[in-house]
Amino acid sequence: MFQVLKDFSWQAFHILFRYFNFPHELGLITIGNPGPEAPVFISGNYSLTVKRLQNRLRGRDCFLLVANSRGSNVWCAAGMNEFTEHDLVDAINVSNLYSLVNHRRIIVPVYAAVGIDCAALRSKTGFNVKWGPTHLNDLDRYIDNDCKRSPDMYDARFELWDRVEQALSTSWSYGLTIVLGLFIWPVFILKALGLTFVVYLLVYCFLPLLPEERQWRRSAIVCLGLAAAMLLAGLIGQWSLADLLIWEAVLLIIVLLLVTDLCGSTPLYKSTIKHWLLQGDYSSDFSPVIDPDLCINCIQCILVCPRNVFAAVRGELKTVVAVNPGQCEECLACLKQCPTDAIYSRVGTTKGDIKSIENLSQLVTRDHSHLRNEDHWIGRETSFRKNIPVVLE
Amino acid sequence: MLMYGWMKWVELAPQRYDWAVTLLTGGRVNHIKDKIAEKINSGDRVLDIGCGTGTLALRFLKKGARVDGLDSSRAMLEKAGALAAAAGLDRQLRLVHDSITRLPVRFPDQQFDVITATLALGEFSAEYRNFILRDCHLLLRPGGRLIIADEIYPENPFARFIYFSLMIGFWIPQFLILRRVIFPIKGLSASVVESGFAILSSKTWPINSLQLLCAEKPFDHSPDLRVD
Repeated sequence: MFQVLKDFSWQAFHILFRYFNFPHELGLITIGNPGPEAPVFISGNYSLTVKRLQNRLRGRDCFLLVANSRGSNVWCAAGMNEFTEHDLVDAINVSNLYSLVNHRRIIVPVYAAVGIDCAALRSKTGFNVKWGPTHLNDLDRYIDNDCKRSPDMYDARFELWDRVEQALSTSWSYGLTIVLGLFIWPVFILKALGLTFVVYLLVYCFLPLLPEERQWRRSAIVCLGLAAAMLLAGLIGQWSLADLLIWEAVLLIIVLLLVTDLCGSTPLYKSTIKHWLLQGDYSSDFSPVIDPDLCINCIQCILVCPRNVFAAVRGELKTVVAVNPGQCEECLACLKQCPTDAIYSRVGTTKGDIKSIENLSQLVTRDHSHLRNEDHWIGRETSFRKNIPVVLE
Repeated sequence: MLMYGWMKWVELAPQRYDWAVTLLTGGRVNHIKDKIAEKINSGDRVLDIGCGTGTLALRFLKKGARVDGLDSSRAMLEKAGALAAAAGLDRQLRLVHDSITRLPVRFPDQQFDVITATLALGEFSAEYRNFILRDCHLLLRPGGRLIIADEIYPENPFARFIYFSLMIGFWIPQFLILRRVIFPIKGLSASVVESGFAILSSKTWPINSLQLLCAEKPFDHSPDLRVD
């Protein structure tokens, strides 16, 4: 009982403080009785992730190698150039993985792809990277499937519990910024905090039911819906007009915070406030298009894309094309992994948060006018063949 | 929007690194770097591991040393190169972009007079540190010195109380400025000794937990511990 309570409070603390980094100790964790053929899973050293991975892997025989992501999640760390092949090299060298396993394969979280130079890792250690599933919930199925991903394991997902955690941690962080106000206006601040939690939880829980953000449609519905609900509460509770106006204003501020947060703090979109203001949606600047003359059909971009942007062409021409560039969330993993720099962008700007691609500005500002013919692939139907999306001819 | 702005701010952490560390250590880090530079002689061959933006390497270059700097961040190394070039001392500086656990691959054995590491080992576990220290032992010539400056876990209970009280207060500001929380190293001296070094001196400063440790690879030492 005590252990359950302890685990629950540990998880609750780490969920609320998700925006801060809590480094887990680096090094190799042995799970069960792994032999020389046992799989090796790589994790960043974000404590919550390591703990959850350990729980998920309980009962298996494998190695969990915790590499240095500076206490952050691997996606943020990899983009910030703080979870790179160097950190994997260090983890492999220090744990002397060479002597523990006969194979030369490590299973790396696919969200780390934007930071890792797989060729450099191979040349320095002999280990090859195999990408894991995007979501922890798929890990059991992945292992049971002989450590192979099925098509649904490629995509970024933002499931109910992920959304609840996100809502709680974000509203808690806002709470921390106004906590000093408790000494001056305790009742008002407490009510504002409560309202923040309620708004975030409501919107994040019902996110899939809300319409897509196009011309601020979703934001407007959220704003008007909640304002109407508050008006109703005010009428029933007979609030004074001043109170009603103040709380409607507070609500408007919270909704504004929330809809701008949605520009970049979910696994589904990465946009900018400027883009949202000007266009009213959460699309990314980056819009990939592949040069078929440079593409060597290695499908690395397909393997690392969490938004199902790419598909293989398997006719006379064997290449990879961008069929859903509008879904791209600018993680830039494809750009990092492409060995021939075959991926161009239709837009010459990026959000600017990715530091792990040295020649990024040169890559995205290249003239792509010779690739206009490639636009005809956009929206083409695809089907999965050997777990790889293929354009239907 | 606050989250968004905050994320934009933390994204810029590498650019803020130097002044942030100076600020968070109350300027102490520069004083310590000066102290380390005092221990370097003209003509010394020095390796600075985790050299970052090269502020320590530049001090060595000014003393007439030949310096190798290793870091896993190319952006930091570019800054270091620019700093040395601006001082006209880049010909004595060699920058190596590689992982910290590949020292024996990148440098020959017993070539260095001094190896330094400032605020470079704090983020690693004891296992990592021992690995790196054993490599340092390999690379130093007999009589060569290892100089480490880092945050050390206070052994004295009173100092520990003061330290952790301050740490709680500074936790959020430190993360906001530096984008990482630095945890103090436990048992550094013991690791250094276990790796075959003899400790020459150890200096700490009041209030903060920074420690400057100077150790020597003895002449009549046992064989190098790592066999790779």
